[in-house]
Amino acid sequence: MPHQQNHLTADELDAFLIDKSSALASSHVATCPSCAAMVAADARVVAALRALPMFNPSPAFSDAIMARVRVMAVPVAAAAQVAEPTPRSAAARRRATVALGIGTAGLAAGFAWAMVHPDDALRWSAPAVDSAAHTVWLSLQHLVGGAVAQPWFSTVRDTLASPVHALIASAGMAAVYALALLGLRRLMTEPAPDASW
Amino acid sequence: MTNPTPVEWGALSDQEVVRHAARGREAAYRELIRRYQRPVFSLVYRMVRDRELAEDLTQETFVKVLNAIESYRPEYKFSSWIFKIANNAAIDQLRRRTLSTLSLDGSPHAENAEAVEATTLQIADSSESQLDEVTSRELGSQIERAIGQLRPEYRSCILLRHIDGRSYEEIAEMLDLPLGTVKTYIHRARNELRILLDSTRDRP
Repeated sequence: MPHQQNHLTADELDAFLIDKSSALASSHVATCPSCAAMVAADARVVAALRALPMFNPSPAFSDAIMARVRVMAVPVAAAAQVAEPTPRSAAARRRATVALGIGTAGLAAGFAWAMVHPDDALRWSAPAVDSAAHTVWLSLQHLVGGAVAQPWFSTVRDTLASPVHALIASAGMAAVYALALLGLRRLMTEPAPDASW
Repeated sequence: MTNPTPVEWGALSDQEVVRHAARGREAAYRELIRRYQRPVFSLVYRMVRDRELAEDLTQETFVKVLNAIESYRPEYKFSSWIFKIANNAAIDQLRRRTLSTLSLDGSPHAENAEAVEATTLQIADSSESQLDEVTSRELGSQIERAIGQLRPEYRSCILLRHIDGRSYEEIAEMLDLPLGTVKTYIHRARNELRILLDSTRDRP
């Protein structure tokens, strides 16, 4: 923090160059000739840098590059789809929007009705909920029964009976999963070798 | 087969133009060249201080970038990508040039006395002052000369910051440097420029 004894830091000098100096730094500069001179000198350097012109390469520059660039041969029609949606896709989007609107309106109406008639809603929905829960329970039973009947089940159960073994197996599976994710990510983002980040 | 829909290139963001380029529209490639040829060339020119060499390096940069356009990751700025490759090319060139200049007895490949002399160590000349003379008409101002005397790392940082207007974070990403290092380089570069300009002004 600047005060009479401590001069401006590099960050505080930077802040002056982009007109974002703090009130404390400004008050310090107002009373410190050394820092005021530093700020003024930096401002002069930056102004000189900003005033430097851009240079143009030779007129044939663009063509020389294009002669060495491999433009992918994509069918023109496919490229056209990038710019604007085709009428067909626009119509499909309209249909999807209408369907979504009807569905949302139906759901909203059903919800409103259930709020107004909660007893009827519960009475009518209870059998369906019971039936769904029963189906889920049967599926679960079937799944577990199938697994228990497998010849490898007893070996796995004995191995995982120990908490340490279970922990090691979980950690191993998590590591394999993480490695697979990393590998997949790397494959998907691999840049060209000579233009890498 | 229909013609591609006309595109108002100027209204598109870099990301959108790159997307068109990745789908094979030559006009998108040309738009990217049009947008970046001046800033990239100017940066490289100020780094290597040789117009012909700068043009070659800038061309190489564009060819690399445009031929790898499919690998562009839109989460990064396109400008950061192209400036990074351009800066790397310029820094590599400066390192090669320094190495080739630092031969006490001339190049072992020199075939005659002139070649030996040409490749012999020039102590007071980091190889850039000669080029400064060649390019003195364009890079002749005091500030340009002062930039030419900075270390390459300082030079790229200060150019990217105060001429191209890049943020510290962008520069750190482009140059693969920690943020603190970038700040230090820029601060030191400004100090050196100030001293160089003051000494030029004081000279009779």
